[in-house]
Amino acid sequence: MKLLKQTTAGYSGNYSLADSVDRIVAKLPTDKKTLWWIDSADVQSTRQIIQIAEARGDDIHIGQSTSTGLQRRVSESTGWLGTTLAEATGHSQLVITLGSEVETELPQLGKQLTRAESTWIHLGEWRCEPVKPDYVIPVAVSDLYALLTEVLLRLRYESLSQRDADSQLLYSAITESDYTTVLWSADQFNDDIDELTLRRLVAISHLVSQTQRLCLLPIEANPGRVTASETLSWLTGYTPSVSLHDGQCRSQVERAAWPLERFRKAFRCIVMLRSVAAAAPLPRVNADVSIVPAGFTESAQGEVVEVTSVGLGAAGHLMRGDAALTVFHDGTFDDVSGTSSNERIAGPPSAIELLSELRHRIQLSTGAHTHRSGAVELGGGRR
Amino acid sequence: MRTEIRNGWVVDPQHPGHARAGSIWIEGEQIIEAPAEEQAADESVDASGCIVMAGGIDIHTHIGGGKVNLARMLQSSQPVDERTVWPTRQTGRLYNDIGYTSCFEPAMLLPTARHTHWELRDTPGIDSGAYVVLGNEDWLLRQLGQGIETAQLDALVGWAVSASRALAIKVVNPGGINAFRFNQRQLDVDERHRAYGVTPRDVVRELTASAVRLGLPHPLHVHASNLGVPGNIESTLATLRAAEGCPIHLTHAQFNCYGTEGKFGMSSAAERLSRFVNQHDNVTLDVGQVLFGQTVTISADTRAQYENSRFADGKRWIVSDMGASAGCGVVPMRYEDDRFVHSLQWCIGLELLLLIEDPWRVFLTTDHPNGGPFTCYPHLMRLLMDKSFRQDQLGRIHPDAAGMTALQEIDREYTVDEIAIITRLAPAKILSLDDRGSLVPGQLADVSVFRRHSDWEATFRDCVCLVKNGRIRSDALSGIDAGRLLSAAPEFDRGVVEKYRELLSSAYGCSLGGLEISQTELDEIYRN
Repeated sequence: MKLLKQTTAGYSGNYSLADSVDRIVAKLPTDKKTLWWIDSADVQSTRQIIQIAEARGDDIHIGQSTSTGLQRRVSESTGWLGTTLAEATGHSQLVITLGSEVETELPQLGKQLTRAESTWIHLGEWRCEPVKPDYVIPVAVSDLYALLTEVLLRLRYESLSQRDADSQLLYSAITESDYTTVLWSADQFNDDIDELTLRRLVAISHLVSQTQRLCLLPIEANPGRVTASETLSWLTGYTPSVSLHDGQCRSQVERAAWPLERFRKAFRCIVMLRSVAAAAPLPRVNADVSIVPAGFTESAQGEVVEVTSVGLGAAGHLMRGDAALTVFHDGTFDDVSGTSSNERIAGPPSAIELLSELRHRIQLSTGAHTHRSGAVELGGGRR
Repeated sequence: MRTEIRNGWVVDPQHPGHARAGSIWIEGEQIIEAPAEEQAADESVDASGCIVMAGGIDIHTHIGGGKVNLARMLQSSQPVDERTVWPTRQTGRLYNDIGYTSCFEPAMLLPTARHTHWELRDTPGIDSGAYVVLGNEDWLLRQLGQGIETAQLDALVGWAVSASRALAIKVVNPGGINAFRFNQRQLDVDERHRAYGVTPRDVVRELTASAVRLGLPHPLHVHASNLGVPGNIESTLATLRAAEGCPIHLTHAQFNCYGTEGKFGMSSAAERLSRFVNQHDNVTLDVGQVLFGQTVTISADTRAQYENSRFADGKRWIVSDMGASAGCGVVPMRYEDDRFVHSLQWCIGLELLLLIEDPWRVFLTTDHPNGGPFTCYPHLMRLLMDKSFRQDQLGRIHPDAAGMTALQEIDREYTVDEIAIITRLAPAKILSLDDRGSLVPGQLADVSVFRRHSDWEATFRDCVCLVKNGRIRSDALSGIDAGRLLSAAPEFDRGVVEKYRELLSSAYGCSLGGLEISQTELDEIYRN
C-alpha cells in the first residue's frame, strides 16, 4: 500500500472542531435522506458514521471498485482458497505475482520475496529495480487467460505435449512446489473479461490443492475500503450499501452497480468521508460535503472539511490489504513495507473526533439516547 | 437503585433459597441480601409463575472476529433474520432473549485480535472474552522441536495471552494446521511434523502444563486432531492422555467422538469417551451438539474445513491460511435428519450429555454456529430434560443411526438444577469467574427470569426479564452498549520475549508493538 506524507501545506487552518461540525450540520437536510459515502475509513470513523446514519435514518454506501464485486461474484460461485502475506513471504516455496499493479501497491514485497527461500515468478512486466523476480514472463494482462488455460490443461491432462517455454516453466514450478501463493493487486481484474482470467486462477487453485497447496491472494489496495466494509458488515450484517430508515436496516447491494450520477439524483445530500490519505482521486459524485485529510483536498467536492489522516497523524484501526491484521496506528504507519512515518501535524481534528462530536450533536437533537425506566410488571407476555 | 425480583422460583443449587419461591435483591451491580422489612425496592419485578436463574454463560461460541465476519459476508444476500450468523448487536439481543449474559469467543488469532475485540465490544448485553489460538505457529513449533525451556515457553505463552487480551489459550488441531502448510495432510497424535519434528502430543503436553504454571483461569482448550474423521476417538483419547493429568478441556467433543463400526464405517464412541471423562476428573468437555437445519461452519482448522468444503451446501465457502497462526474456514452446512452421518452426530452429542455423570464437567454448546445456532439451546435443553420428547425426535432420524445409538436405552432426564449447573455454575467455575453463575448475594447481578410453560423449550425461550449488571434490559436502548471484556493477566518474563522480538516480528510481518493491545487502546475501543 502506498505510504503518503501529510503536511500542513494546503490546510486552511481556519476552523475549530465546533466550526467544522457546524459546517457539516448546515448542509444536512432535515427532511430528506442523506447518503454517507465512505471512500476509505478506519474502524472508529465508520462506526461513528453508522450511528449518525441510524440516528437520522440515512443511508450508507462504501465505495467499491468493480474488482471487489468481481472477486465476490467469483468466490461465491466457486469457493475460495486463500492465504495471507505472512504465508506468501514465510512459507511459500513458490510465489507467483502477476499483473502490472502489484509492484506499486507493495513496493517492499519484492525485497521480502528475495529474502525468502522461495522461487519467485512474475507474470507481466517488472520495472522495480534492483529487486527482481527469479523469473519474469513478460505476458500482457490480456494474454494471461491464454497462458493460465494452457497451464490448467497441462495440470489436468498431464499427457499434453509442451506448448511453449512459459507454460512449461509455470507448470514445472507449480508441480514441484508444496505451497504456492499467487498474488496480485485486487484492482488488476475489473470486468467481465478479466473474470475469465480470475476463474482460471481459481480452477488452478482447486485442482492443484487436491495434492499440493496453491492459494490465492489478491491484495486490496485500499485498506480503508476493506476496513469500512468489515465494520459495516459486523454492525449491520450487510455490505457495501445499506438503508437505515425507520429503525430498520436494509441491504441496498444493487447500488454497487449504480453509475455515479444515479447517486446524485437519488439523494438530497451526499457526505463523502475519506479518513485515510490516499493518492487516488475521490469519486465524482458531486458531494455536498467532503471530509478529507488536509493536504489531500484536490478532488474534494462541495464543503471541504479537513481532518488529520489516520496513520499519518491520527490514531485509528485499519485492516491490512490482505485483511490479516488490524493495526493500531498512533501517529506511525507500520505495515509490511516496513516503512514508518511519524509526522504529526497540528491543526485539523481527526475524523474520529469530528464524527464523534457530530454524532453527539445529532443524537441530542434527535433524542436517540432516550431510555425507558421505572417499574416493570409482568402481567403476561414479554415486555 | 434497588431492585427486587419477587415470587420467582429460584433455581440455583448454591443459593440458600434454592428450589422455592423467593426474592432476589439487587443493588447497583450486585445481588444483595434481602434488606430489612421497611426498606422497599425502587423497582420491582413480579416473577410469579417464573423460574429465576443466573444469567447463562456460553463457554464456546463463535461470535466475533475475522472468520465470523467472513461468514456474515457470505450470508450477506440473505435477510438477517434468516441467517445463523448475525450482526453483533443482534447476536447480543438474541443471547439475552434466551437468558445468556456472558459469552466467550474460542478462536481469536493473535494477529487479528483487535478485530475480535471490536466485534465483542459491539455485541451488547453480554460480557465476553476470547481464547487466543496457539499451537500452530512456526516459531512455537520450531522452539518445541528444538526443546525449549519451560520458563521460555511460559514467557511466550504468557505474552501471547497478555498481548491479545485473551482469557485463555486454545489449540486447534495441534500442529496439524501448520503441517497442512507443508502439504502434510494428516498429523496423528504421535506422528511427527515433517518440518519441526514435534507431535500433537508434544504440543498438548507442553501447552496444558504451561497453562497451569501461568495460572490461567481456564485449562488448555483443545480442538483435537482429526476432527470429523471416522475413528477419531483413538486420537481424542490419546490427546486427553497427553495432558498427563493436567486439567484439559476438550471442545465440541461430539465432532471427535467417532468409531468406525457399521456398514457406513462410522459409529458413536460416546460411551468410550464418557467413560474416560467419568474416570478422569482432570478432563472437562463441551459437547458441540448438532441440530438439524441450515447453518455455517466456522473454524480455524483449515485442513478440516478444506475437507468439509466437499460437503458444502452451496459453493459459498472460503478456506484460508491466516497470518502465520492458524487459519480460517467458512463452509455452509445443512444437517438433515434423513442423513446417516448427521443423525449419528445428533445422537452422539446427546449421548455425551447424558452419559457423563458429573454436570460440573460437561457443558452445553453447539459450537455455534458449527453444530447449529445458539438460539437452539432451549430445544437442546428440552431434549435433555424430557425423555419422551427425546424418544419422539429419535424416531424421526435416520433409522440406521438410531439403531446404532445407546440413546434409546438412556432414561436420564436432566433436572432444572442440572441445567443451571451446566449452563451457569459450571461454566463460571471452569473459567474461574468467581463473580457470576450464581444468585447468591455478592454475585454480579446477571439474572434471567423465564416464564414457566408446559414444556421446557417454551420455558427457556420465554425470558421475560433479563438483568445485566443490575440493569433490566430495555428494548429501547440505543447506541452500542458494550459489555465487559474478561481477560487474564498472567505474569511472564518480558526479557525472554524481547529475545524473540525479531522472530515474532518476522513471523507476523509487523512490529511486536503492533501485536500488543495496550490498555490505552482497549479503553479507546470500549470508550467509543
